[in-house]
Amino acid sequence: MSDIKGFTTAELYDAVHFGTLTSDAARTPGLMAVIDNPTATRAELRRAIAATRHLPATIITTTNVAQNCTEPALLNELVDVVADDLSAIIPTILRNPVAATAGVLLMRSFSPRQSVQQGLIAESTTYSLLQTGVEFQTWRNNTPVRPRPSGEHPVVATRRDSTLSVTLNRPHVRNALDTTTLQQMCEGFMVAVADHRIKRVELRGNGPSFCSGGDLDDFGNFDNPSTAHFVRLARSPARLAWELRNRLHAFVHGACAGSGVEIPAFAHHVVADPSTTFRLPEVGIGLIPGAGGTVSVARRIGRLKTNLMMLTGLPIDAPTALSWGLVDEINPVERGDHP
Amino acid sequence: MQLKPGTRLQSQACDTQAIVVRAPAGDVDVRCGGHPMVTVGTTVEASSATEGFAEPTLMGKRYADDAVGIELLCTKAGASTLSIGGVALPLKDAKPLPASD
Repeated sequence: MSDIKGFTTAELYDAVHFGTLTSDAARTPGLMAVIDNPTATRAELRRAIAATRHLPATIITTTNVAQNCTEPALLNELVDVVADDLSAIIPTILRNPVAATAGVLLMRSFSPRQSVQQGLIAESTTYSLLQTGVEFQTWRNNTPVRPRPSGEHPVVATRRDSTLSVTLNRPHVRNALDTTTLQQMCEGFMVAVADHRIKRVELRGNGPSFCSGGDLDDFGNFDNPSTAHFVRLARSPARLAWELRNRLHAFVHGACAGSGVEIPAFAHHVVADPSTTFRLPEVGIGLIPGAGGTVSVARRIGRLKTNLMMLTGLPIDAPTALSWGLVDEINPVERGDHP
Repeated sequence: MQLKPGTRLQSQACDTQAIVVRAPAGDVDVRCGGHPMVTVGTTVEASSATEGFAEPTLMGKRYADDAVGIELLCTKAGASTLSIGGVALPLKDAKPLPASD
C-alpha cells in the first residue's frame, strides 16, 4: 500500500532531510513510516529524531524491532507508536488519516515536565481544528442524533464532613457526558476547589459503567469550532480535576471510554473494578481525546501507549491498565444506588 | 458584617455553608433561614429557620444579587433560604455555556 513505507532509521532521516517524505506526507494524509530494521546507531537515531519532529506522518515500529534495537530508549523517542501487530492500528489511520496524524503530532510535544495547562490548550486547539475537518463531518452526517434527556439529576454531589462525593447519574446512557452533565460535574469539582476544608473528593458513576465518554448526540452542536475552543477551556473538568488531583479519588467500573478514561486519569488515586475496560475511541470519529487525555493519560502511561490506545481504539482490560499505570488499584467498585 | 472574597459563612439555622465569591464594600446583612450567618468555625446554637425562609440551598450553585454586589457559592447544602436582610438571595441566573463537544 502506497501510504505505508518501510525505512531503516538512516533512510528515514534522508527521506525527511531531503524533503521527499515531507512532501509525500503533505500530499497523502495518514502516511505511515515504518521502521522495519532494528539496526541503528545512536547518532543515526538522534539525527532522525531531530529531523522528524514536524513530519506529518505516523512513525511506527513493531515490538519485535523495538526489542532487537540496541538503543531502545532512542528508538522509542523516534517513533510514535510501537505495536505487536500493525493490523491493529493501520485500519484506524486509513479510516481517519488526518485525525490520527494530528493526534501523534500533538503528542510529540508531550513531556511529563510540560505544564498541564499548556497541554490542555494545545489539545483543545488540535481538537477544534479537527471539528472543522471532513472526517468528523462525515461521521456526524452518517450518525443519526437521537437526543436523550439529561435526566433530572445527571450528577449527584453530596458532602459529608470533609468528603465530597461526585457521582455521575445518567445510567440509561452509561453516564455519557452531555453539556448539562459536564456543567454539573464542574460545579461539583468547583466546590472542592473553593473550599479547602474538603479533604477528599470521590468520583463515581451509577449504573453499568462509570462513564462511556462524551455524549455523541451532543457532538457537532457547537456554534463554531474556534469559539468552542474557548468554551472548552472555560468549562474544563480536566483543569478542575488537575487542580484537585491530590484530593481526588476515582472509582471506575464497566466499559469506560474517552472522557470516562481521561478525567479519572488526573486523580491521585484510581481504583478500577476488575470488570473495567478502557478505550480512547475518538480518532475513529475524526477527533482526538478532548477531555485532557493527551495530558492525563500520557502522564500515567507515557506517549507511546497513549498513542497506541488512540490509534487502535481498542479496549484494554483492568490488569493491563494496572500494569501500565493507568489505574492504581484493582478492587470491586460499588455501582452506587443514588436516586 | 464585612465580607471579602474567600470568607466562609455558615448558617445558624441549617447545614448551609457558603463561600463569598464577590463582596460589596460596606457592611452587609447576610442571613440564612432568617438568622445572620457566621463565619465557619464559630460555635452556634441551632435555631430554627424563620417562617418563609425555608427554601433549601443547593451545593455547587451560586446565589447573587448584582444590585448589592454580592455572590455566594454554596459549599454545603442546607434547608433554609439565603437572604440579604429580609430579601431572599436568588439563584444566579447564569446562562449555561454553549456546547463544545
